[in-house]
Amino acid sequence: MRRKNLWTGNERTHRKGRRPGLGFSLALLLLGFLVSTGFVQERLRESQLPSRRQELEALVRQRQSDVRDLSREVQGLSDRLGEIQDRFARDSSQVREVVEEGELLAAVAGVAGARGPGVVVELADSPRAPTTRGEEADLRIQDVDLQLVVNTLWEAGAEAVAVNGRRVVSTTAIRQAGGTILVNYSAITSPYLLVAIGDPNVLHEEMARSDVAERFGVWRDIYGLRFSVEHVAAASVPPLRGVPELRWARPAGEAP
Amino acid sequence: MDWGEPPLRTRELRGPTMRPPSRLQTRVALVVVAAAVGFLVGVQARNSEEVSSRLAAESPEDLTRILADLNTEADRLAREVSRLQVRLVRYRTSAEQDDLLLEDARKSLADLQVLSGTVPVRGSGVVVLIADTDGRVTWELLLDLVQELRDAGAEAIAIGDHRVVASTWFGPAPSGVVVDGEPLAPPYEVKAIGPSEAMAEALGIPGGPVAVITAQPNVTLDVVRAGRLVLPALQREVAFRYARPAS
Amino acid sequence: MIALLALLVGIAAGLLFQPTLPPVVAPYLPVIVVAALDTVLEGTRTRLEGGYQEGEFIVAFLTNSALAAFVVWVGDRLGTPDLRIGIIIVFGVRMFISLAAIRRHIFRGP
Repeated sequence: MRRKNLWTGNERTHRKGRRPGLGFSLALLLLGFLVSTGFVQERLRESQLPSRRQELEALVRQRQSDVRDLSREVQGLSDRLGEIQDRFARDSSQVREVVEEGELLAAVAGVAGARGPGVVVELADSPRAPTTRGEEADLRIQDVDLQLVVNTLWEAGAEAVAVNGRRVVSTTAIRQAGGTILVNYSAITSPYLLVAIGDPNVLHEEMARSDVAERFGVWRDIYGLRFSVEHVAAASVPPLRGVPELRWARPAGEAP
Repeated sequence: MDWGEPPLRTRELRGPTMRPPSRLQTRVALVVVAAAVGFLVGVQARNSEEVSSRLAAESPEDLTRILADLNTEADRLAREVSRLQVRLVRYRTSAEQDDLLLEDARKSLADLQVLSGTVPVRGSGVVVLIADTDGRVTWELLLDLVQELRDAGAEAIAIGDHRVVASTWFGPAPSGVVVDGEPLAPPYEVKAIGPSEAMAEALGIPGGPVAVITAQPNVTLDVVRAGRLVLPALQREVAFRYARPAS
Repeated sequence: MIALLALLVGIAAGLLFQPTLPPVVAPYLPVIVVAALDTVLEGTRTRLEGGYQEGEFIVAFLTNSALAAFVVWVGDRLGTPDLRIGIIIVFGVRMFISLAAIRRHIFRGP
């Protein structure tokens, strides 16, 4: 009875353009639904965020211990192989000669660790969060930035260079894959620490007056990128991890 | 519900005139508006929370990158472990341990010689020929090309007569580029020993250094696969004055 | 009164069913809510002042929300998220005007 009344009233008022009808109520229903949906979504997201973080953290910890264990295993195996080699080197002058020659080259090739005075160049992404793709390129350190800094370090007479613990050798590519920078095919993240061994004063001076430094002086102010060069009295550069077994290149003098 | 009815009915009787709304209707409107304002505040509060949680979400992103990094590292170490184990087993089981050891030692010495650039190197690979009459190809482009070749697996690289090793640096020169302090003028011949298929493919990728170089006017670039290449040894002496070996 | 009840029912439905929005749609919810809120205030105002048209109101409700979402979408595609702020400002100003009219109507009569 009432419902019918409402409907007829509705029709009449609608024609005259005065009384609200069901449509207004429906709109409010939808509005309420949208608002509470938004509430629920946001709360769900917030509740999921920490758990995903914890999961990730657990995974990272797990992987870290895996890497530690594997490194120990590699070290152990290398030691045992070294022992065998040493034992034979004592007996065989031929083997000893070859091993000694290799040890001399290892440092230059970047296969052995090195320490000495030098500089540390630090580059870091802007603390600002990028909102567009173009901004992402401006606010993040790019592979080119690292390439140019490394190039400047070599020019200034650096003897050994490492980027975030990855030794730069003659086969090292500093390359970007998506948003991630790879050095020796292993991903590194900001902040980037470039350690160079050499004359600290020359390295520092050359680095400071290089084009890269000049550009970063501007970018630091505009984008908030970090760039600094510091003297280090005792720097240390690790050896190349996982020495590549060369498959294509052979010394030209060697018998085919 | 019932108390909502009389006003409707009375209004119906009154007919559609431009009269002020009834007391109840006014009250309803007031409530609706109050509710609307309340929701506005609520929506706003949620919005600002969303911004702060989005900032916090930067951190898991970093965690993901770190995780990927660790995964690659673990894979590489696992491969290294199996490689060393194979060698250890070979030493133990082989009757001619002496020969095996000498062979292995020679192989790693040869690798070290190639890596350090102290000897000329031969092997198969690609030759990149760059003709540049207007001097458009900058040292940055050459450096980028070298990085691309290394990324594609090049084991030894030379530009002209200059062997490119880790410490090789590039710079500008009035008529071309500077490689390790020596001026070099076009045309440039970049030789790379390594997997020729992978290198040629990497060079052909759109948007790569080759695409940038060939986009310059009056610049031509050819990639030729070569079965036998010989690269010169490094011409300068590499001697360490500051670096000492670290165990 | 029915409208107010409907609002409460809508909120209750959202809280009760907890629908999961696809991530693609999620960024547009805030502007849609603001656009809808504005249209409802506008509707309330015309109800009080007279000249309320049911069909017009529903069309306004839907098109305002759709346009707001569309502008934000276009803004994101063009790399200018500022358009979102523009939408909020435009609807914000309109809401205040509607609110002022409603207030005037309630306290002073037509």
